[in-house]
Amino acid sequence: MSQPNRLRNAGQISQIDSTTRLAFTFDGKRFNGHVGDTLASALLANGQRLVGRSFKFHRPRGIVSAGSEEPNALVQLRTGAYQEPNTRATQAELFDGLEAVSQNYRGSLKFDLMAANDWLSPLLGAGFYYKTFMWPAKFWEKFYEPVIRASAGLGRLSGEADPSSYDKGFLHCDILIVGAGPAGLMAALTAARSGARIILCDEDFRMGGRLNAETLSIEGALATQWVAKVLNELAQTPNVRLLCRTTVFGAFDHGVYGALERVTDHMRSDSSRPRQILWRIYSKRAIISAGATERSIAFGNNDRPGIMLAGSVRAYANRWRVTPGKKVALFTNNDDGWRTATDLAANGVDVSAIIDTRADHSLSAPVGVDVYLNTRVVDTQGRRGIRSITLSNGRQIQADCLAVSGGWNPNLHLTGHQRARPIWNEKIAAFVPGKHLPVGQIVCGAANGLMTTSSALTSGLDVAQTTLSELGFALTAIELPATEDEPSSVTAFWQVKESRSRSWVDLQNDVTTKDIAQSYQEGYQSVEHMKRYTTLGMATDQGKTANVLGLAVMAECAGQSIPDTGTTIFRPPYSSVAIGAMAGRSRGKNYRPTRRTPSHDWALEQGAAFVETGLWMRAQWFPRPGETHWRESVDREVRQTRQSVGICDVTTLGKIDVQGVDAATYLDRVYANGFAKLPVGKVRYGLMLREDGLVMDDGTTARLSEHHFVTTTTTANAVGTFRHMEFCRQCLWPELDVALISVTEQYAQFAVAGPNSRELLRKVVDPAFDITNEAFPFMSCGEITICGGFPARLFRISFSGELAYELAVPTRYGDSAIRALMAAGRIFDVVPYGTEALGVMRIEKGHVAGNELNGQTTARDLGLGRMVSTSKDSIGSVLSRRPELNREDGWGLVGFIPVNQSDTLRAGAHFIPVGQTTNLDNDQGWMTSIAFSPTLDHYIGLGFIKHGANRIGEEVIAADPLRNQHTIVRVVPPCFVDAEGERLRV
Amino acid sequence: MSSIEMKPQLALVGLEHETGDVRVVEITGRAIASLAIPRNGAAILRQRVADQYQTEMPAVGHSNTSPVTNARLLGLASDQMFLLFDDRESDSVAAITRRFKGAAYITDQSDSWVMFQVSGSNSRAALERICQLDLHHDVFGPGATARTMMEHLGVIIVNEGNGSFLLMSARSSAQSFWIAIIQSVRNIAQPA
Repeated sequence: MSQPNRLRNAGQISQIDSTTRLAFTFDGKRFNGHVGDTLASALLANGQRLVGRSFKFHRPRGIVSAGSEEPNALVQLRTGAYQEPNTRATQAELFDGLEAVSQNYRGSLKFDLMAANDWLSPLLGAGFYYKTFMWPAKFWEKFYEPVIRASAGLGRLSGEADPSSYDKGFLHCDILIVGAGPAGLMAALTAARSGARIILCDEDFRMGGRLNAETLSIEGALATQWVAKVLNELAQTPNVRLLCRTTVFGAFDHGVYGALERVTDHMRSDSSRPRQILWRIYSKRAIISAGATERSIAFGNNDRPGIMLAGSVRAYANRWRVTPGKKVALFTNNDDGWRTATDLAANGVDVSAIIDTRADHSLSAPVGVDVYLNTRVVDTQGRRGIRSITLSNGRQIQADCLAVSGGWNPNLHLTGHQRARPIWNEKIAAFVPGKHLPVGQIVCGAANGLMTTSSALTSGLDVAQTTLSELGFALTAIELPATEDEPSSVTAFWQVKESRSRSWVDLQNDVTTKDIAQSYQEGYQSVEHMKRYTTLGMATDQGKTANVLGLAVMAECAGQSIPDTGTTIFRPPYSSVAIGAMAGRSRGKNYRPTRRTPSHDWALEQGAAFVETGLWMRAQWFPRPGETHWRESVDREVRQTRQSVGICDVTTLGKIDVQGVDAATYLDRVYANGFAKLPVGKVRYGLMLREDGLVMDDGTTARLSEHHFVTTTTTANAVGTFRHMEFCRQCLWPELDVALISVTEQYAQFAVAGPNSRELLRKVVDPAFDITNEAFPFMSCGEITICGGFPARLFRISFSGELAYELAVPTRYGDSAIRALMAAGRIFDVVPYGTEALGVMRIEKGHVAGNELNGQTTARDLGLGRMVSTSKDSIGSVLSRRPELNREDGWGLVGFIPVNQSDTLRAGAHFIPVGQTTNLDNDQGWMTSIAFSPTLDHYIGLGFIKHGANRIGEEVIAADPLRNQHTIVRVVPPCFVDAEGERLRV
Repeated sequence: MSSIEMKPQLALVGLEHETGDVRVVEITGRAIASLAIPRNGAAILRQRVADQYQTEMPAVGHSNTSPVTNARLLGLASDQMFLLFDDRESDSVAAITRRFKGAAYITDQSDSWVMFQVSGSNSRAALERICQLDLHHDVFGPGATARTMMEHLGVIIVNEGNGSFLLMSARSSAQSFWIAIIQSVRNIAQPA
C-alpha cells in the first residue's frame, strides 16, 4: 500500500497537497510523497522507520523530531558531485526525483556489520579513545588510527568539486526578527505597520512555527488561518522582507547576524541560481522569537526507531497527515505531551497509553486511552523499531511508536553567541535568556520561556512596541488577537533510574546517562569538561535535544541543582553551514581580484610567462622559440638589456601625486632624506622610515613643479605607504597645505634600460624635447609629449644600473606605448624583460628590494645610513639612532659569491663561520636575494651579515639545512656591476 | 616617430550586459579630475565651482550635477572632490586645471578608474550581493555618494537616481569587477 501511515482524512490544518505526487528514492527504493512534505514526513508516511545507524554503536535509528534539532535522521542527499552527507531528513523539503541514502554502516542499513560495536559497548564507554590504544605505541599510526578513521564520520563526501554555486549578500533593516512563529509574526506585524524596515527569517519553508502543527484557534479561527492572513499582509508591505528557508545561524558584533538562505535545495536542479546564499544582516535591533525545542527523557533503550518527541509526532499528524505508528504510546512529564494523545486520537490513531511521571494532573485523556500516573517507561523492546514498552509498574504495553516529552527548552542559542549566560527557570524547568544579551537584541515568545500561544502573541507585540519606541517609530494601534491558553505545566523529570538498560541522552553521539556518570566519577566535574570527554552536544545537531538533559543528569550525579552545575556556551553556527556557502562565489580565479598591467594583452601575445605579485599579474619572462628553461630566457633578457636595450612594464610601482604649498616640507618629514632643496625637474631616491626607525619603504620622488611632486613606492607597499602618508597628512600635520592622491592606475610606466635606451627613446619622444645627457642628465624628470603630441612623463632613473629611463603615459595609451617602444627599438634588437630579469639586474647592481626591506632592517643595515638626515626631523630619524640599532657588530648588507663559482646559492641560507657547527649560536646573518648573473657567469647573492662591510674578503658557509646545502661563499661589496655608476651617467 | 600610432584603449571594451531588468554598461567618454581644496581655499574654490559649473560644491557623501559638460561633482572627503565630465578636447583635465586658476590641486584621474552604470528596477537587489552599504532609497537616495569595498576592491558608488548607480573602481582590476557585478546580476535573475 502506498503511504500506509498517511492519515486518510483531510485534517484541519494539513499543509500538504495530497493531489500531487512526488516520487523519490531512499536507499534505492522508490516511494511517493506530496508537495509540502519533508523527506522525513514522506518516509514516515511510507512506514520507513529505520533511517540510519548511530555514530558509535551503529544502533538502528529512526526519525526523532520534525525540525533542525534532529539528531538521528541524517541522510545523504543527491548523487554524484552533488552528493551531500549529513542532511537532516526533517528539514529536507521533498521534491520530485529526490534521491536519498542512509549513512554510517557497512553492509546494508538493515544488516550493518559495524553493529558489532554495540556488543562491545562495555569497552567503548566515555573517553575510551583516551584510555585505549595506548600500547604498543607503534600500533597507533599503523593500525589504530587508520581503523578508527575508517570507522569514524557520518556519511561520505563525493570527493569531487561541488558543482553548485553559492552566493553571499548584505541586508539592512531596522528590526531583524528571527523566527516566524506566533511571537515573531506578531512582532513583525506590529513593526511592519509602524513603517520600520523588517526582515523576518524562518528556517522552515513554511512560516508559522508551531502554529503550523497545532490545532489551536486564534481570533476564533484556526491558527493557520491567522498565520496566512498575517503573512499576506506582511508580503504586501514594502518595508518587509520575508526570508523563509533561512536560518539565522549567528549573532555577531554591532547588530550583525549571519543567515543562510537555502534557495534551491528544495528543487531537483536549478543551476541558474546559487544553491544557497550567506547573508550578512545589519540590524539596528533584533527580536529573537526562535521558539523552543522539545527534549526527551532518559530511559532504557530510548533510542529505538519509533521513539520520537511528542510535539513532533503531533506535528506529523496535524501538518503532514502522517502517523508515525499504528499504535502510539505517550510518555510525558508535562501537559503538552497530553495534547499529542488528544490530537492523534482525534485523527483516529490508536493511542495505547499515556504514561505520566507526575502523580496528578487536571487533564482528560481521549476516550479509551489508558492513563498511568506516577509511572515511568523503564525499557523498550524491538529490533529495528520499537514493538513494546515496559513500565515501572511491570506492565508491558504494545506500541510501534512512543511519543516522549520531557519538556521544552527555549531556543536561546543566538542570545549566547556573545558569551551571555542563560538563567534557570524553575517553572518551565529550562534555561531562559539571561540579562546580558547582545546589544540591540530582545527575546520574546517561547524563546523567552513563554510557552503558551497567548503569552507568545502578547510578548511579540510588547517587544515590538518597545523596540519601535527605542528606534523612534510612532506606534500604530494594533489589537492583540484573542486566543486560548493551552495547558503547559511541567514537572521536571530527567531520567528513569530504575532502567537497567542503557539510557541515551545524546542520540547523535551515542552518549548515555552512564557515560555522564562515569565522566563525573573520573573527575570531569565541569560541564565543559564533561562535554568534551563524552562528546555530548557535539556534531551536527549541537545537542539541541540533549544538552539540558545531559546537564540535568550531571547535576544529579553531583547532587546539586542544574543552575549550580552550569551550562556550556553556545557558539555560531546554530546549525550546520556548508563550507561552500562560507566560500560563496570566491572560488577558483574568483577567489580574489586580478590586476592587469597596461601591457598585459601585448605580453600575452608575446607568450610571456606570468607571475602573481600581490594582485598583479606581471610578465615574469618572455620565452623565445627554442628556449627550454626559464633561465635561458632570463639570461638572454639580462644580457641583451645590458648590451643594447630592454623594456619592462613597471606600472605596478605605487605612484602618489603630492601637491601643495607645503608639499616639500611634508616630504621632508615623511622621508629620512631631504627634498626641500630638490630642484624642479629632478628626481631623488628616498628612504621612508617607520616611527621605530626601521625602514618602511623606498622609492623615487620627482619634482614636477615648485609645489608638485610624484613619489613612487615599491609594488608590495603601494597601498601601505599611501595609507601611511595619508595618516601623516591628516593626523600628524593637518596644518600643512598638501594633497595626496594615488596615480598608480593613472599612468602606464615602462623602464627603458640599456646603452641604446636614449637612442630608442629619441624615436618616440617628440623632437621638441631634448633628452641628451647634457639637457636631461641622470636623475632628471619632465613632462613631455611622444609620438606626435601625446602627453607623457619621462624620468631618467635606473633600477638596472644601466643608462635608463622610465616613460609614463596615461594608462589608456599603455598598450600603444609598449608597441611603439618595441617598434622603435627593433633596430636595436630591443628585448622585453620580465620581473625575473628585473630582479637579476637589481641584484647585480646591489639595489635593495622587498627581500631586504623586510621590516626588520635599518638604513644603516642597508648601507644607507647617511641618507638619514641629521639636519632635519623626519619620522623615524630619532629612533633610528638608538644604540641597539647601531651596534658595531650589527648587520650590514654585503654581496656574496660562491668560492667555487659553479656552486649555486640559496636565498634564506644562513651564514656560519667556516669550521663551526651549523646552529643558532653560530648564526651570523642570512642571504636575502640570489640570482645567477649572466653578466658574471656565476651566482651572486645579497645578504646581511654581522659587521657587514668589515668582512669583505672573508669566507663563510652559506648553510641551508632545510635543503641540505652548505656552500662556501666569499663576502664582497654589494654592487657587482658598474660600482662607480658610470653607465648611469653617459 | 610618425609611423607609430597611439590609440586609446578602454578599460574593457565598452562592455554591456542585460539580464532581466538589470543593465550594466561600461561608461566611456568621461574624464575624471580630482580637486583637492587648498588650505583655507574653500571659499575661492566654491566660487570657482559656481562660476564654472553653476552648482555648489557637494558635501561629503553627496554629489551635485551640472549641465556644463554634463558634469557631476562627488564629495569624497572634507578636502577632496571628484569632477566627472564629458571628455572633450576643449574640456580636458588640463583645460579645467587652467580654468580653475590654482583654486584647487587638480590631478587627472581619468585613466585610474573604470566606470560601470548598473540600472533597472532590480539594480539594488543585484548590488546587495556585493555592496555592504545600505542602498535603500531612504538611506542612500539620489545623489548619494560613498567610498566602499566590493569583492575586495575599492569602489566609489553614486546613486544617479531612478534605480541607476554609478560604480567606479580601479582600472587594472576592471575585469574582476565586471565579473563580480555580472555574477550578481545573474544570481538574482529568476529562472525562465
